[in-house]
Amino acid sequence: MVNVMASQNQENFKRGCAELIALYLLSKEDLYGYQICQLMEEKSGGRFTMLEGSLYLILYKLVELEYLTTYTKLVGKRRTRKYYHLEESGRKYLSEMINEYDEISKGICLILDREEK
Amino acid sequence: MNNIERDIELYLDKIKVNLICKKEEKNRIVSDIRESVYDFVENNNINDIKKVYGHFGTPEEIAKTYYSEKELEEIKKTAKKENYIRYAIIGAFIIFVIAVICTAANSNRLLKEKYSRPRYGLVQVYNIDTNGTIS
Repeated sequence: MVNVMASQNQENFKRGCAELIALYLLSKEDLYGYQICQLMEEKSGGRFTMLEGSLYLILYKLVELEYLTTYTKLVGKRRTRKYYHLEESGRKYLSEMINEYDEISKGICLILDREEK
Repeated sequence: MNNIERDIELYLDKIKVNLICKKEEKNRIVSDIRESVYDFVENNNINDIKKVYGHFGTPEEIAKTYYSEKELEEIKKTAKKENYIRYAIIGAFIIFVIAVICTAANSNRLLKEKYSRPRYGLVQVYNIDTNGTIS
């Protein structure tokens, strides 16, 4: 029971952070969905894994808010790939999110008696 | 189409069935998942659909990730309401069609009756003789 609750908490926590992480990765270069998931896993040393379904939901929301735009590229003969591109409004939103994240993480570190690095 | 491609398409079809949303939305979600599944299969040289299930989850699990439980309940309620309305419209249409058929059959029967009835009337007989006079 405790394990189930812990994994649910982890999932909720991840979902909250995934938006920030996806935007950050997209600020470096245009990426497609699978690539974003792979980079999240790689760069976190396997600590941050996400189901594609959850990621796409976040990406759809960001597209609707016009922070991201999409374009498709032909891969091979038949397949296409949808790339996500971070727009200027998305960059502003990302910098706001990073500031918020810094503030919250400072606050949490203070509460948990942890030294900030 | 090889075996793994066929299995992937079946897998995607199952996801589509489990998604509760409009057709365009379903197509968008499935098309994005298709991209990811093929990327995963190609990058890892996979030819067993079980590995796809293991990595992405079952179609039911994937469909669930698109909605929170509350949203899922709301969607189901709306879908139920829409179904009731649909059934009501279909029912009304069937009743209308039956009514039209009955009315047509009835009027056809009346017409038949009308024209098959023997007719009585006066017939005046004229006689024309060889001189051309009518008597």
